Amino acid sequence: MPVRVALDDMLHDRRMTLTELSERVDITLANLSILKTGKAKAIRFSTLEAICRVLDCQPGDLLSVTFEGDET
Amino acid sequence: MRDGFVDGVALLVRILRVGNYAYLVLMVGFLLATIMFAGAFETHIEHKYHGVIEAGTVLLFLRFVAMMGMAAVLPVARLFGAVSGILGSVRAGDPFQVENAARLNAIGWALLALQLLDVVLCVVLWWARRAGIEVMDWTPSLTGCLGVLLAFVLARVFVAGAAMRDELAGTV
Repeated sequence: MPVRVALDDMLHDRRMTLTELSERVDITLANLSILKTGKAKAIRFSTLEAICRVLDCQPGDLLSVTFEGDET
Repeated sequence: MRDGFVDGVALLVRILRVGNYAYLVLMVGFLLATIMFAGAFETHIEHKYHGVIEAGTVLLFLRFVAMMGMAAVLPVARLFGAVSGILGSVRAGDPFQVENAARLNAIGWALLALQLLDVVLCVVLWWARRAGIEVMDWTPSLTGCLGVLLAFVLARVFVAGAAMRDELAGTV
């Protein structure tokens, strides 16, 4: 999937674990794990808003799109 | 997910499935009886029709009806099997599956087979009536035809529902 979720990097930068984020955004660890590993098919605005609030970031910091042939 | 209605229907379907096989045994038994005790049957038929109709013709009719009854057991078994599977998925709280769409298709085909058997029965009864055999009246089943269409339409609804469910399952 060309949409990359930079949740792992953002958690690392903030010295936060996925479990801690899960408790603070009130989303199950299983669902956050799906998001982190890029297996999610879609993300709700409410989820995005909750994560951005806790991580103090913008959706663009969390998500990026890479198309085939693009140089990163 | 516990649901009294679903539990009740599941129990009813289980009973009907047993009843369907009991009906098969009854029909096989009846067919064998018309062969093993053909003489007794012919005597009874001759007594009833006073020799107006040949007993062999009536016996042939009875055997054909028994075989039609046996033929109906398979689609009915498939129908109940599919309904049972759907009820199981409802009880598990996950009815919008592609498997249920296939089950609804199977129900549609089973109902269609029963409708075709009904048409064959109509022809047989028409022939029997012409031969002078006392038979029941036959009326076309419009609700049966609608049931066939409804099952196939619902199968498509379930395909769409299963796709939506899959989409939702991947939504965080």
